[in-house]
Amino acid sequence: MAGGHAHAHAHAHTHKESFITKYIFSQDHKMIAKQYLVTAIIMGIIGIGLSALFRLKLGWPDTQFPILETLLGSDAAPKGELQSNWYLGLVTMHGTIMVFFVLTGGLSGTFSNLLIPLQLGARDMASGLLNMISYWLFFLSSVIMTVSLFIETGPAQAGWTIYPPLSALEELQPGSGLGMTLWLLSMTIFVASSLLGGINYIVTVVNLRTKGMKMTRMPLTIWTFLVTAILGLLSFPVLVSAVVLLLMDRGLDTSFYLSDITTSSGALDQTGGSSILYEHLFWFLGHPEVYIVLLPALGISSEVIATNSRKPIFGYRAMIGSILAIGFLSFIVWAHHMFVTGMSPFLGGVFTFTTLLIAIPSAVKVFNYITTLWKGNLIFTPAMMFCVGMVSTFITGGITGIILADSALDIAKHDTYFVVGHFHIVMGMSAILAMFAGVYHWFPKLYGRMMNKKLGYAHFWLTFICGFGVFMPMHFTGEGGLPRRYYQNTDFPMFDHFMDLNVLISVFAIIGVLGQIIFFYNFFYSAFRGPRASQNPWNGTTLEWTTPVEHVHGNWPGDLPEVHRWPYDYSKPGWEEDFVPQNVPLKPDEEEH
Amino acid sequence: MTKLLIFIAIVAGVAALIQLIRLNEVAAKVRGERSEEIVTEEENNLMAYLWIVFMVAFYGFTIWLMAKYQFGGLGPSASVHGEDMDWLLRLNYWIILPVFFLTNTLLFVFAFKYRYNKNRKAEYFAHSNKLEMIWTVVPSTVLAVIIFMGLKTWKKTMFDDPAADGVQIVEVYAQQFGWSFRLAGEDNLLGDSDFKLITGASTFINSKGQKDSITANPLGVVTKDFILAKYAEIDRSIESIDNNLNNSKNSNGEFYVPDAVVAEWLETRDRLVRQRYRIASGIEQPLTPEQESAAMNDVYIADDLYLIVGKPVTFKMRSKDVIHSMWLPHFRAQMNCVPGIVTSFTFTPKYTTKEFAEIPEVKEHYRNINLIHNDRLRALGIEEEVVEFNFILLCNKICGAGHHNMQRKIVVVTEDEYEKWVECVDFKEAKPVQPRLDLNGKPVVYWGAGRDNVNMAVMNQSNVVVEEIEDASEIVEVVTEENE
Repeated sequence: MAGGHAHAHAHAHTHKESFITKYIFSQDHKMIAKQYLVTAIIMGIIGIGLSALFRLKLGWPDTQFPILETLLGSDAAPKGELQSNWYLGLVTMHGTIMVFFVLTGGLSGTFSNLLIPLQLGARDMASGLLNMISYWLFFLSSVIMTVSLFIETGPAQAGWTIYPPLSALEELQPGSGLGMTLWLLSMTIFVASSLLGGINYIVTVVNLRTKGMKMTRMPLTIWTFLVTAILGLLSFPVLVSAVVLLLMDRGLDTSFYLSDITTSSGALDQTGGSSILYEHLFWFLGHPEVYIVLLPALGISSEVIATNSRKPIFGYRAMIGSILAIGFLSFIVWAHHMFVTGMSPFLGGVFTFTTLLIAIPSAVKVFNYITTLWKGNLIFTPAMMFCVGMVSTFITGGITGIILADSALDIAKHDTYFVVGHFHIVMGMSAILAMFAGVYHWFPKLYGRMMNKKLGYAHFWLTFICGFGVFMPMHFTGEGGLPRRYYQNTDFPMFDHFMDLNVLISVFAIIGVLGQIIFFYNFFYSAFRGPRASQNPWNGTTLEWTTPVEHVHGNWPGDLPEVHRWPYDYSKPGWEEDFVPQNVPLKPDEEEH
Repeated sequence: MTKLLIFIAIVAGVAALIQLIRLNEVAAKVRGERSEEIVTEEENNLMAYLWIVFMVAFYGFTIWLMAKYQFGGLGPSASVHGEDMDWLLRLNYWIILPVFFLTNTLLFVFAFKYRYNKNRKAEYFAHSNKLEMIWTVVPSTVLAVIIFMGLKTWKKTMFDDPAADGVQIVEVYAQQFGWSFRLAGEDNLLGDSDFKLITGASTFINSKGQKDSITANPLGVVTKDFILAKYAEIDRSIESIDNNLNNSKNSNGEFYVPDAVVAEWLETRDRLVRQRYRIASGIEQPLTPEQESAAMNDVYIADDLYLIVGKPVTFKMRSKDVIHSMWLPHFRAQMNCVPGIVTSFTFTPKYTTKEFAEIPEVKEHYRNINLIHNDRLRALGIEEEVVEFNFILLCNKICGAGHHNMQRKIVVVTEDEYEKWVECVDFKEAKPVQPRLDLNGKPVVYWGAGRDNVNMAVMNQSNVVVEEIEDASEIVEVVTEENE
């Protein structure tokens, strides 16, 4: 890494930046991480805000809420009565924003950017310019997606999976006009951003590790970011092709997905296309996407749990193995979303098998987390609270996946609230809890200040309790056959016994959403006014805690640190301190681990 | 109003909390620099105890939900294959629930038990091949069982032929936002259909050279006469476009209507010409007498569907516009309806509607439903009604603004009652529609064509009340009386 040294000297001297290059078009990975995080938080406010709005309708179907008219306009909710196509618009935008903009862009964008160079001992990302472009494309796509909420015909309304023909023809749904065009445009830009980011992450991890940082000495966070980037690189292009074909069906009268359709304007010319083709293409991204969201979450928890248990993560190699296994398996399970689409039942059998296999590496991870806690010395920082909570949601949501993976059982569960409950707990809650954990844990690294601990605890308990309060009951409404994406359930008296439960869910949802105010306040207040952080506030072993509190370009003022040991030397026998940073050389007779 | 007040109260509560903690923050600043970094012993213990409190509350909540809602109130499976599925579901629950309680308990109890203690050092325990082997092998073994049982049930549901003595074929046709059906008739063969033949009311010269008319061909069924009816409809449309074009010119032969309108007319005209050509070359030419006879005795149903108890039925599903999903929760049956392809699902109803309604569990459940339903109606100032049990067909794939209200009753009856129903269907609706003869000389009727309510308006008001669900047996009785 001789090049690194020369680089360091170059930086130490020439360092004058204007406001624009420092804060806006910055190529510094730490600033880009902050930009990602703040954008994701703003998108998060919109995303969860929408869920509170549509929960109002589901909880109190017979009540008018003037606030809806105020917020959404008189087209969407005349006299406070939410319109059904707008209900679907809110659901679609909630899903899209949370999955892509908060949990993909936000989670992976923030922490990959922040931690890959810092934990590997690199001066910056392999390409600062690509990194900057990646962020600004993400920003642009966020803006376009947000703008689509304000157009007259409403945003995309076909669900976040936008199955054609519903998403292809404006005659079928008002949101399939301009709203859908904006959705497709935004997602295409988003994918471009995500690919640029992903390539950069992979190149950095492969090439820019500091001296001594072998692959088997990388923190698990980096392993998950690496596998996540590979997943994104292989699957997002498929989404783009799906989107481009859909755009052609919409604009150029091709028939990739359309066949034998009669609308109000008569029989269409298109024949021979198949909307099942779209479903295959979409879910070929869509399922790895679940792990694109989940793997960074698992990486963050591994790191936070080990640090705050003062104990090495249990089964480091098994953890790497299960990350790789999950990454591989995630590519051969996509059609479990399609058991009842009319796809060949033979395929259903195959995908049941591969899907249930994923439970094995997932179980290994859970038991490893629990064993890490065992005989640890647990310090419940807010980040640690979120991570322990995350293990619980991963278990609770994961086990219902076993039912859904079973094609025979899925016949009676597909597209019911059971599915909504399942994936919100296992993917939504787990990822969002880990994302919060990451923010609380690395806030001192991001802003050089500390977040308020007590507000952190309050925020955790509100989020955790309300999350389960919202999604546990949904399993039972799903067992009762209640389909998802219903604007109201009152048209069927057979679901009337869930009326109380829907109120309960809505109350939890609204309190949970309002509870996030605590976080926003804590975040923005602490970023400017929080108490100064010390260099290594959590007594961590990884390299990011050896950098100065104030950000410097190039991360380390002098030479790059050299790595001598794995990242989990907590409470190692023979050492006085209960942690040994990675850059501390082994003692003469010390074994690595 | 009370809701608004509750909101204000919540917001005020959050604000108060923030102020309180801000105060605390100032106090912390006074206490020392690293106060936000170091978790005090009291805080750590408090959090550790809260894990246990949470665990108890969480289990309490889950058990309450399980006790109160169980399997969501659907009752036992109303189909034969659904019983296997229910058994498998219970097996799955017996496996995952212990895992749920056990692993969560381990997690929370460890979190409590191993909370920070300054006199203790964490154990440096980095890996153990034995332990890791255990939690790879044990889940794998359990999953092998689950996979095996699952695939067995899947095979039985999707592949096995449920009956040697034939299966009743019924077409399920989905469109925004409603359902219709086509019975296969005596030959149990569905005639071909093509979306290009979907026709409204049309008068035409039929294949025998007589003047004829139909009220509709909503499913696009293929017969010679339906093709002729479609031609007539297309020709009329083309003629009216030509008239429009001729009448929109001024004395110089230039159009005085906007270009865009003319372009749209021309485009529509082109499309109609293309469509006529496609029908002629793709449907009319290869039409065989066998195809036509299969179509001739099909029966169109735009109302509730009747099925025979104990008789396997295969639903052949088509869609007119977008993807819908045929969802029959009581029968544990679901399959998407995809435009352009025909999907299918086979099942055997196990109970008649009447028998199922009499099952104590279902009876009790509907007593409860009636109480809740009428509480709501009273609150809305709407006349109360009796909700009776019925098997319901719902749409379960997002399909547009009316997705939440696509419903049909499925009435399961005995074979005798079914025969009466089919007779009535023919008889009752035969009058408004011109009686037509199939190739065997018997009258053929596309029932319900005149009362096609599938294009019902999307109802956005929340105060919509579902029509009273009539008891299946009543319909049969009423119809039988009429017959006599």
